[in-house]
Amino acid sequence: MDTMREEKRNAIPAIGYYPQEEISTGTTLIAMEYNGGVVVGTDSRTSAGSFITSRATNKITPITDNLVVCRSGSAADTQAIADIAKYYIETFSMMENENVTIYRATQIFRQFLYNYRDSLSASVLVAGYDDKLGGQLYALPIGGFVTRQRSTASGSGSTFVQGFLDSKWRPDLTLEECKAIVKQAVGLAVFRDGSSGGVVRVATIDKTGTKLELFRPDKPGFPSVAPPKGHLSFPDHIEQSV
Amino acid sequence: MSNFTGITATMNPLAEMAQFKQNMREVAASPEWRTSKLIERQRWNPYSMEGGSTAAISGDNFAIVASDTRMTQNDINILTRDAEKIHVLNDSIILSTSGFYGDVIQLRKVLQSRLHKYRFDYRADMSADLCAELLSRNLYYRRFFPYYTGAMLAGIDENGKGAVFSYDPIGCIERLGYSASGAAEPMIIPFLDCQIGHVTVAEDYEKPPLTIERAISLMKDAFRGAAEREISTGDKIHLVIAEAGKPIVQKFLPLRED
Amino acid sequence: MVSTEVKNVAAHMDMDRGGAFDFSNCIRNQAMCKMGAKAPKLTSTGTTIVAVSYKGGLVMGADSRATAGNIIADKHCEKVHKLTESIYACGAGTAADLDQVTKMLSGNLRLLELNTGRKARVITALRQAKQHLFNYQGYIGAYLLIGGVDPTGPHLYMCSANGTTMAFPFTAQGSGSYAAITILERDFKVDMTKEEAEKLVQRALEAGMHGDNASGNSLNLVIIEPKETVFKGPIVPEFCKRPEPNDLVYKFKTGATKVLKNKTFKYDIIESMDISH
Repeated sequence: MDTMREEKRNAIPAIGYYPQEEISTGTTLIAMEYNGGVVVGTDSRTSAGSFITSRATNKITPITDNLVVCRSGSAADTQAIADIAKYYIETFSMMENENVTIYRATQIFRQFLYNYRDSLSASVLVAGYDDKLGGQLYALPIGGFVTRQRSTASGSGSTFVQGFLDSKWRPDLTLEECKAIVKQAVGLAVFRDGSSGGVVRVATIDKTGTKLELFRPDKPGFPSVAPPKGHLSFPDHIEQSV
Repeated sequence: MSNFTGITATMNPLAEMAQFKQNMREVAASPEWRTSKLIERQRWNPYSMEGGSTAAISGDNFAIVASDTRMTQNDINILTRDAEKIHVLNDSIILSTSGFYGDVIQLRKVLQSRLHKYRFDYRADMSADLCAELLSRNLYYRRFFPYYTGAMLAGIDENGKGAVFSYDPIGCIERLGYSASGAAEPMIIPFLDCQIGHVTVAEDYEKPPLTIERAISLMKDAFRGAAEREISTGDKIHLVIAEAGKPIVQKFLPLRED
Repeated sequence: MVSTEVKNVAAHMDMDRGGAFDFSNCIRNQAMCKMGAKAPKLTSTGTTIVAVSYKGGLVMGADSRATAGNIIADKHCEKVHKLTESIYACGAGTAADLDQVTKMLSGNLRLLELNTGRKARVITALRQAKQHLFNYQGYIGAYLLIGGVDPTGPHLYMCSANGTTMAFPFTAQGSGSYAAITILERDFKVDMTKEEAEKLVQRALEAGMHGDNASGNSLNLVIIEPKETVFKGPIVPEFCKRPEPNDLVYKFKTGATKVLKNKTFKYDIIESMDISH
């Protein structure tokens, strides 16, 4: 909980004063299609104001065996949408007696994001694999607009790696290449973005299903970035450690 | 605390009712929780309040000042448990303050330098009465950007009597028998009113005289009581006792720390 | 005529949820605020609540101070709420909301247990709380730690007023959570013993109570294991005790108050209550 200022401490929820800052996932979400599926990578930080509420959050929410959503924005809103959409998708596949396509699932998400666009602050990436179109990746920013993407980044950390992703993506990436790019992109974003951090979670979705992986900073495999050296800006007579 | 406060009848009742109904219509049309309200960033505020309480009692030939030593940020966080809120300015003047600690320090500095200059000019310590007037003027000097302090000045006056002067932030001065300032002021004042002012007891009821011992005990109990129910008061009582013809005595007593 | 108009609008806005929650006065209160009235302060439990999981169980704890502004409204309030035999919830936020939400949860879980003939699961309690709180978009100011042991093992969840939920091995909430979480981050280990976990929770709570103005007075613990649930408290840490008694005795002798009028009522004492604290 944040230290509360006077106006916040006298919170009257019924009038719209909140006693706490909203918990939101200042986030880095990276996703990329390759020739047999999709790879998504995220950080794991959840913060309320400047306080890190959770440092090992899972922002990749599985919906079906071969469909995940990556959440960013208000944690409460995205969790609620994921829950409701999952319920709809399960009902849908039961009634139709077949798996929903990724596109159809995305449209269900879009429906909620669009209909409740005034009261929600949520944006998601829908990533999955179906037999019709193979690996697919859809980005749904706040407001309920849908685009299919080959590679995308979302959340506060995305601004730092947009160019990196553009330079790296090419048709017919292999799984290993794709995973390396996604991991490195998350590493780069986490390095520069204050509200992203913690561990790196990577999910791979292909026709066999979803595989979740975890990379910790204290274990090998974490995409760490070597800090650039500072400029020797002091006068010559002052010793600086280089 | 459970009722709405602050409504004052200013108009005639009919106009007021019409106004209220108008407000009801407006609010019902767009209640606050439906209008998207931007949460405004708090503008920079030159003041902050560090909580805590001080109190002072004057008697025939003595003056007692006490404060707690807790310093608080936003009423919740404890900054230090050893804050000095009572400042002994010379052998007969004690300044005690609550409010914005930055201003407290500045105010003390101003008074100290004025006292120093006075000693230099007149080869004598300033008396409590004079310093009281000086403080008032210094506070009013900053009428439109005040020192945000609830100051009290206590000591032994020119006639050897105990004196307590109480101020508002912009220099309104009042000489009182007892006073309190700070977060627990609303709790301490009624207690002192009852025990020293005897305002709640019948006229013919036996009233104990205010000896220095009784005053010290009352002061301690006032802070022990305040620490029970006021969240930004606690840690230690800083007790300063000035008695005519004797040096000023300072004491620290434990208070609850939670 | 005007008033019926207002009523219609209010009904249309779906504010009267019936039962425990009736928002029909919101409009009136806002209109009163427009007239220059100041809204009353709510009792909020500026709180320290802590929960830690250990090998096979869970320890949860809370302090017992409730504040209204800078005044301590209740020194011995109960913030550890029982939901079922082996699921408990600790609450921070608005006292009344916490009482009502936990009451609702315990009722629903009991009904579920009776209907299914099985022990309720922690995730069920969490989902109920989450959906209820999300429905009210944060207007119900309840910040909960929901934890317990069910057939699938020990679980600990946090549920925020706007409906965010998260799972944790250990966590703290409330205004004292900063102080408490430093202790947890330093000393938490996976698969602790019951004694270690209990000590850690108590230590973290004490840090919160010591460093946070809005927490203090005493602490309550609940230790939940598959077989049994033990409740401990109130425990009063050393620094929460009054260091010195009062110097004087404040008893008024008869005659202190001037008698203006006399009237006599006769009654029998049926039940008396200890109000010494």
